[in-house]
Amino acid sequence: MNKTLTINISGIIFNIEEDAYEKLKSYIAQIKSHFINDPGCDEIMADIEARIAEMLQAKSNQNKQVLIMADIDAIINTMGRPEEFDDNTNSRSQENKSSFSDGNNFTGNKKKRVYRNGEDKVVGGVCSGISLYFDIDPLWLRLAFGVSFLAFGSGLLFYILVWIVLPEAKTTAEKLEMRGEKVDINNIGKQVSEEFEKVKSKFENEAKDFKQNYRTKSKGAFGDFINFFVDVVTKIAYAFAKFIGLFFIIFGLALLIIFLSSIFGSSNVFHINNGAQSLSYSLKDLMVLLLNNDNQRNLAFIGVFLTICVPLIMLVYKGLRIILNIKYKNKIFGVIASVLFLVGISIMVYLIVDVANDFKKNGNSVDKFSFSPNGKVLTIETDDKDFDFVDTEEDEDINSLRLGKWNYKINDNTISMSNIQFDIEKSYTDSFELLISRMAKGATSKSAYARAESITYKFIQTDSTLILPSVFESEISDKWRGQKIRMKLKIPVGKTIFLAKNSEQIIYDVKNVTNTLDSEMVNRRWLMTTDGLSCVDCADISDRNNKKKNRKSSRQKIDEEDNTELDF
Amino acid sequence: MSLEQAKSQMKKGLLEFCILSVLSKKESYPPDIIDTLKSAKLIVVEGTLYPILTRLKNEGLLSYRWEESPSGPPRKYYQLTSEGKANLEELSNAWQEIVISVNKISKN
Repeated sequence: MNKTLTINISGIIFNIEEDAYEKLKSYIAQIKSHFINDPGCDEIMADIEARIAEMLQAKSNQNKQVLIMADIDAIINTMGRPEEFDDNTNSRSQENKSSFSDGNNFTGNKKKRVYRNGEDKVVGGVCSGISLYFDIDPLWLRLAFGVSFLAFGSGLLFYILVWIVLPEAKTTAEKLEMRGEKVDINNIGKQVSEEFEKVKSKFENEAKDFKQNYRTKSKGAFGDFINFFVDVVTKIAYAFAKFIGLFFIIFGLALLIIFLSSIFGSSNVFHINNGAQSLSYSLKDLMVLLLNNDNQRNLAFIGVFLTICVPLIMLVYKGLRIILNIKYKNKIFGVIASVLFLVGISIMVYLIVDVANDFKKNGNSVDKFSFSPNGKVLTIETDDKDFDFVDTEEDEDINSLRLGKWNYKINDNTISMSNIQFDIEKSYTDSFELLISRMAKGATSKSAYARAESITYKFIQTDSTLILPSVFESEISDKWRGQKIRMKLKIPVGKTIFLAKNSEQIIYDVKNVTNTLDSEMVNRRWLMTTDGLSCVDCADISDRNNKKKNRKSSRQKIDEEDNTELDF
Repeated sequence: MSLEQAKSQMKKGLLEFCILSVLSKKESYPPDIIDTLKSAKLIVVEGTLYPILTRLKNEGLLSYRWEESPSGPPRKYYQLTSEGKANLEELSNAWQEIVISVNKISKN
């Protein structure tokens, strides 16, 4: 039992077995690609299809309604394979005017084409074929490709791509086409104009047929105009298509190299410096921060590679097809690319879900330290370890990563993070109290708590200073799972502190009686009163605030006056 | 050039001449022409013929008319145009000359 399909050739309906159909279809496609450059292509195809229909009709009858493989084989035998046509038709045009045809009708075939050269190959005959096209020594191309293999393998990828895109020159006609005329500026121009000639002659032929069959005059001034218009539009479209193809290739390759080096290289590929902030990241660092183990990291490499590089490769592939004017279709390539892309997407989704799962629960470990400094004023300062304050221009190998507000840096066994916030409150006892909450996230509360516990943060307290480092360390095996430190300093009423200039990095929204901003709180002394923190040495600020207030109130007065005037 | 290639070159040059000759006798549709050419061992496969017919038609040497077929799609019946006839005559003369010259040379 076999599945059959119903097909229509030249208006006749046939029942045909599936495998026989596939064979017939590919046979017709082969013939079509053989004649694709012939000006009479459509007509030849119509004739051949009509003849095939006629022959098939003769093979099916009342008793045998379904066409089978043997029938198609018989047809192909009679009609002949496209290579067999060559002997008498196409190759003649390659000899250019040696026979008694004026040659004009086959100008399309004179055109040079890129093929892989199977006769002179090292790997796939790609370099050899391309060098024949441009009439250069294949050695240089091979060298160039060899060198480009070293650039993160991008050359290798490109090579394989070209290998897939380019058909190998198999028949004599193809080999002649491959060698063809030398391609230089003149020839390219000629080629372009020949393309239009082809389109034009096709139109003319159709007009001729039309006249022949219907005996009407259709071509007047209007017809000429239409032809001219079609010519111009084709010319522009052709040039534009080539341009787009070139753009595809350059754009695709550039992005490919960037991404490949970002995946396989360890350096910061993207280094964006917009003045105030500098952002640099390498995919590798990001993966170390986020992913659980080497397996996941490898999977992520594959995922990123497939989701980003496959579309880029397809882009380059399309560009190559346009530029090299390749007509034959490679369906499998498209299917494989789509499948790989979907696999890449699935991997990414899996990893994202997996990592997100590790952020489900919060863990919080609080430590409390009480102390009574001897000095009159307690100075609160931090260190300059936070990479935010390191000039990245000077220190290129700092290798830090910025996610949102915070910086991360991967060390040998630990990750340094800067997500620290410091707040001040009133103490209800006689001593200073420092509360340090170490926080992290995890899949379970237990694992989140364990992560929070493994955060290392050491502050230094001496007689009159409290040094709170601007970064803390976390085990590299803990990954980045929202680790942060929140600190609260409780100050007894009547005690004074001094906020050092660099403490601006860690203080966050510290409440005070004058509602002074964090950035203006530093470099000043603050006294804890029963109402809250109050500035000891900010005469200038209060002055400014008062002035602002005065200005505001006077403006209000004017407004009121305006209103009253209006009322009258 | 191999012997096979040489033979194929000869046939190739004469193929158009032969097609025109076949059509000069009577209007016919491609399978008829193919039968004649095949029996003369000039071509092997049918696919060879269609591009040549289309080209000769586009050159104005042939014209065709449609005819309904008892079975299958309508058939194209090709015939010579007056230009085609003139062309055939010239080719025929040229052929005679060639035969004479070749005979003269190869026999001596």
